[in-house]
Amino acid sequence: MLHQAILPHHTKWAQFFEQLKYVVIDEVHTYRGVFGSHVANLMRRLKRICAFYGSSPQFILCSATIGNPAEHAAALIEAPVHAITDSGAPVGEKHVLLWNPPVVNPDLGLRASARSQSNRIARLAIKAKLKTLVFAPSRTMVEVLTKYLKDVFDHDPRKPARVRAYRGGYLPTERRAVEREMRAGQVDGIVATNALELGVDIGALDVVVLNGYPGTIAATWQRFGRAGRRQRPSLGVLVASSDPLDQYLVRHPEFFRDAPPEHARIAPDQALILLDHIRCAAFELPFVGREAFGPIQPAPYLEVLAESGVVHREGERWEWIADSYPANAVSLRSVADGNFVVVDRTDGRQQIIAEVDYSAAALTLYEGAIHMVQSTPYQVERLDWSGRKAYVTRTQVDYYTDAIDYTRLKVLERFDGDASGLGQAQHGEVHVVRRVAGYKKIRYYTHENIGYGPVNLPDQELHTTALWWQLSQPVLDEAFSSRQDALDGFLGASVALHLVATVQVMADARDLQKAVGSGDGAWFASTDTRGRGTLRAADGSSAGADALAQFQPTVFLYDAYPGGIGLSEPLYQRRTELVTQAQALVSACSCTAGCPACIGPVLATDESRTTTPKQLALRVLRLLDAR
Amino acid sequence: MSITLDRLQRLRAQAGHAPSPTAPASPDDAPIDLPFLKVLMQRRALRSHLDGIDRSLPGDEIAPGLRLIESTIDWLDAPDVVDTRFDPRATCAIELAPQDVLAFDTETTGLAGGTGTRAFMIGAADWHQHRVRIRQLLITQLSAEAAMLDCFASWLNDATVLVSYNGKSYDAPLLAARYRLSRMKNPLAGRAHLDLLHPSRRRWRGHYENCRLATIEREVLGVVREDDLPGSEAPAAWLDCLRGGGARNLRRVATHNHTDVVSLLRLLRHLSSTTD
Ligand SMILES: [Zn+2]
Repeated sequence: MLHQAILPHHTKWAQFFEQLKYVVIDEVHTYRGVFGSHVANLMRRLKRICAFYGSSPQFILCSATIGNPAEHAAALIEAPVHAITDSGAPVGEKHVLLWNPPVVNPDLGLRASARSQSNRIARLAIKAKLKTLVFAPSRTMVEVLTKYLKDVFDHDPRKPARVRAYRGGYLPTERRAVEREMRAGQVDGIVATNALELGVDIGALDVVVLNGYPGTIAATWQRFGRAGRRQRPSLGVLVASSDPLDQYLVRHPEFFRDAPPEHARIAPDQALILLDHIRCAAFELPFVGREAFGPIQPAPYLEVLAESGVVHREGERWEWIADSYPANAVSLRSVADGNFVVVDRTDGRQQIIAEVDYSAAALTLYEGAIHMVQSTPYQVERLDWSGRKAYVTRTQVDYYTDAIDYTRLKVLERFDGDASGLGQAQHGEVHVVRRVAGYKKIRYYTHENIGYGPVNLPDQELHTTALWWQLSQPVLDEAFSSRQDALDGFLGASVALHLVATVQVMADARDLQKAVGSGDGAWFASTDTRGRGTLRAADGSSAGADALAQFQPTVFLYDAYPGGIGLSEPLYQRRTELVTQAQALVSACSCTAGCPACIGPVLATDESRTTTPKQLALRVLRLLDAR
Repeated sequence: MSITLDRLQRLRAQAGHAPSPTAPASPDDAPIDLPFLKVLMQRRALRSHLDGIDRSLPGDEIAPGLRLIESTIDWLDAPDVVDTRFDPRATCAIELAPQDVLAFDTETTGLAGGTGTRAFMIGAADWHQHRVRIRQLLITQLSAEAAMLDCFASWLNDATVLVSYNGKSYDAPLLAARYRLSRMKNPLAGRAHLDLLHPSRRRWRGHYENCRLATIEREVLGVVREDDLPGSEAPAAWLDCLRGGGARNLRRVATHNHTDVVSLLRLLRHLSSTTD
């Protein structure tokens, strides 16, 4: 609204801006990463327009609990903030229960489903006459859980319903009715997606059950906050799914008990995001003289815009002259505008059902890929790369697909470096080339590999920022009996480091990526179908580790956007912590040889190896431990 | 990472942005040398003079970058009074003195809307001393906008009633935004305004292919335009000239605008005289 409607038409809002006194930004913990970086630039534009009308509003920001609320708020509005972190409101006792479903198949490390456990806990709570809210990750899951609970509590159709569902896709009247019934206390159980989050008043509750980790601890607390009425005790239950992140969190109750570990990060000066917003800002008001945009001197960006003919420089002024409306072309959710649309052509529908970031397209939209939209599986039939379209049809298969990608990194510049145990930790700029060579078909539940498909797509290139760890050849020679073992160790360590890093910077897994390679781009490693590390030369052909003159494996964590999105720098600052946490994660994991929740999946045969992949990963992490 | 033009364009390509015609297709290509490009462009502008590219524009420069093109015609007599009953929504008097009417039309940099769209020409026609007077303001540099807005404001007095075609929805709000951006009082605010589009629609909807001014003009008034530049090409004509190119198409824009404002007065006279 502000971005596409109000600011580009600010003269129509002149009186509003002249009198603007307060700007309230709610839920700022969600304004992080790419989205947060866009929002920070939107604030720059807003302040610029306010200055034009002579107003200088005061900002009030609200956040769920994160580790750096004041720092994050200050970064968003680029002004000093005063943090208020204590609530004066009386609250009852709050209990938090982290629930890991029981193991049902110890060999495969399979646990009971989060859905069955959420259902069980909700049923118990409602029976105990506690007002209960269940959050489910998808609309389908909402319907399934609602059905299960209704089977128990609403079998008599003559009585008013005790259990209701609440999700996106319902008509507004229907939603309002549910909200009214909840507030009036007529409903005992409600099953909802996050459609319920945004300021919807349903009265207070006793129990909140989360079916799966919502992605951040902040969001977890925010949902738990729904429980607790009039100083009565309340309960929040987090039921972990089999997702590695869920499994990591549920084993670390200290994340919920101690200071919040999550730090919201933004990178408002990300070059492409800046270019987008300087374009929008030039449309709103000309840039004059040495006017800064936030702390940025916009001249180089304006040169680019002049070059493409959308602004015109006249003396001191850069004026918009194109017949276009730039805000419509700038999505606040992505970097630059190469998004793909997913077109459903089931039964001739030809309907757009989703959008996918350019950066994720090669990994998720190759021909043959199973693409999930709202938990419905679609198969990609045709990918029009230059037209940015993927044509899909609905499908009923018992497998999902996983891209086999080769990622090659080359260090271009070191910004900083430090000893890390017997090795090195560094931070700098890298060149990433990623090729999707094919995909695996993986059967649900058993996770067995049931086939392959080829993929033929152009290489993806990326200049971005990264942090990396490496160990020297002599150290490796002494610690490992073979280079293969060292490589397996690095691959396992990369999974654990990636997992703990994701929590630290509240990143979506796809915003932060991992890779193992040689650092100079000469070779890279990937996990083959047997779960073993394989070396590949720069052209993708397999190579033997022992044949290399120099063998110095490096584990990289890198920002998955061109130009970086500000994740690797703060991670470098916390490099010691990351290694320690990754070590703790792996050594405390209850698996034998390694599992998706620590170092990635391993084959059953690995459990009989004299040295397990888990031990190898731990060895790498110990060597990197600076303590 | 420090930012350079080369780097920005490379990052854009990596993010899936289609390379612009001038951007290098791959990082291996030579980076663009901006200062060099500027020299090239200046040379091109200079050469256009030397090569005799025709950059002449009608009218006089009355302020830096602002031209006033003035002309009169004497074959369109003023009615005794303008009867405004054809427009039930009119907020002015039922009968107007013809000299209080000012027909106007703008030529703009596009239709995208918002603060990024500007008028580069404002044309107006009125009955003045027994003739029709046509005055057109044209800016040849962006910094002349305020002078243009100021001059247009000076043409309006307390009695002036505006006449336009779709001006209530398009030209007037656009000018309101431009006055606001120049921090000037909007002389159009609260002024009586006869927008002939709606009465024309009421009267001729379904009679002709559409109700655009050019159509009504041809079908009702019998005006035929010669060598008319389509309105959609006006922005490019002006930009070309702004960037040092030739002015032929921009002169055609001026002619087009001239025809528009004269047709407005003819249409006004027609509507006024055929009111029951
Ligand atoms: Zn494990």
